[in-house]
Amino acid sequence: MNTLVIDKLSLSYGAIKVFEGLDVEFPSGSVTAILGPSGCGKTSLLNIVAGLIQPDSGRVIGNKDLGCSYCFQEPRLLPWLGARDNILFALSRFSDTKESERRADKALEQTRLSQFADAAPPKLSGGMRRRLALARAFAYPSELLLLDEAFASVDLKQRIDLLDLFTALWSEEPRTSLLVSHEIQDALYVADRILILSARPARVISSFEVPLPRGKRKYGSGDLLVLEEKLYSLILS
Amino acid sequence: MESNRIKDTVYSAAGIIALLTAWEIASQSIGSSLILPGPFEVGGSLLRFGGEAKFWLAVLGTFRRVLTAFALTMVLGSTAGVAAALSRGIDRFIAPLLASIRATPVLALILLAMFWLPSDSVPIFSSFLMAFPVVFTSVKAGIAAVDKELLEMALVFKVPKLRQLSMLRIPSASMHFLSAMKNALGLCWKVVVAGEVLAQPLRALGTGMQDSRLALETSEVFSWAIVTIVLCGISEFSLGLLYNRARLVRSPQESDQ
Repeated sequence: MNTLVIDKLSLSYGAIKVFEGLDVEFPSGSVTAILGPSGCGKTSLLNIVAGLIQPDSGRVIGNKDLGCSYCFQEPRLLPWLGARDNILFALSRFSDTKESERRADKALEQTRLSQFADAAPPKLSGGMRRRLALARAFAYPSELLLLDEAFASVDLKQRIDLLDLFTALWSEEPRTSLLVSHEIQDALYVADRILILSARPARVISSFEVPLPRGKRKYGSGDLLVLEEKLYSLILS
Repeated sequence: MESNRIKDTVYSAAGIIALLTAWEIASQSIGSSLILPGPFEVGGSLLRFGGEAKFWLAVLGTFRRVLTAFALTMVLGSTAGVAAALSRGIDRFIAPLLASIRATPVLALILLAMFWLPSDSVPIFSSFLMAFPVVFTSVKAGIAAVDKELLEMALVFKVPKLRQLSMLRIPSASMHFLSAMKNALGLCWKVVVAGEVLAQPLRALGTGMQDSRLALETSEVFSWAIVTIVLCGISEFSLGLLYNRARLVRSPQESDQ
């Protein structure tokens, strides 16, 4: 797996400078959580990596080799297709239909959605739609996974369930993952590394390795209290 | 829910009765069935028509023309609408033709078509030309109004263009498409019958209407018109059912899961 490199990235929306020569690297096979104030450009960064936005200057190295899967802020599911067909739609580019179906079925099973394979998204609850979006992201073969607040808008229990599902799916098929979030606890629970971005124009103000192995962490347990306090103080300042 | 449906039916029935009463009163006051025959007289000629093979052949003939015009309009209008939504060049290329058709009065179109085509095809051609812009515009708008976030998703997952069209863009335009069908069908009925009145093809409601007018059989003219209205209403109603069904499939009520 290759490292994903953001090299001297600049982006403006009119007079608003979002990035001005941003440099950052994402080690291969790691989960990096990106935290920062609202509007600092976290989603824009993911969209640039995904190729949805063209930067004014600078480049992203490695994203094309890695192939890219994306779990969006909203589940972005086709309401007229069943859960399984939604996953298969995302896998349309692959000619091996049998393999795509196998991956779709496996992802549905892993996210406990097998019995809802034919259900259209409007028939699913918010949490199930989130699980389906996660299933789709992992069913899509890639070495790069972008997650934009993929665990938001659900209650705490479902949030932890989604985070656990992510960890289980990721452990089976590790990918270089960029996780944008507003929740420090989410970052501490699943990330290998946490980046803190400043307000616009965004730059990396701090980067931390999460010391405890992922399997030994408990959500909100306070095991990483020192790091947690540092993160809070950085974000609040 | 059920009581609302009963109320609606009662109001609709009352509306029909009020209309028939007003018609009868107007007919009585004029006192000439040549100018305005009453509903009973028209009902009588309708019953008489029902027993004549000529009438049913006319109904079938008009139905065939409407269906042909409708099918042509839907196929070509939708194809052109999809193409124009996906390509600005095609959109610009079709724009002058569309503007000319829109600006042409329906009667002028029928009269011109009578120079070029056999009488049987005039109503089909005129109807197709009148309904084409309706379908084109609606389908184009539907395809263009596709959810941008879903398109982004398809882009990230590198979904092939053809697959995007068949699974995302076209289904997303389905409500526009059904609405275009409904409008086009109504228009096809009206223009086909108008075309028949002028072009006088064999076995046609419009021809029957014109023949009755020339014979000063006003009640028969009314009967032909009523048959046209009823047939148009039935086909629009059937499409309406399809429309409602599609809407239910698109946005089923959220379950409690």
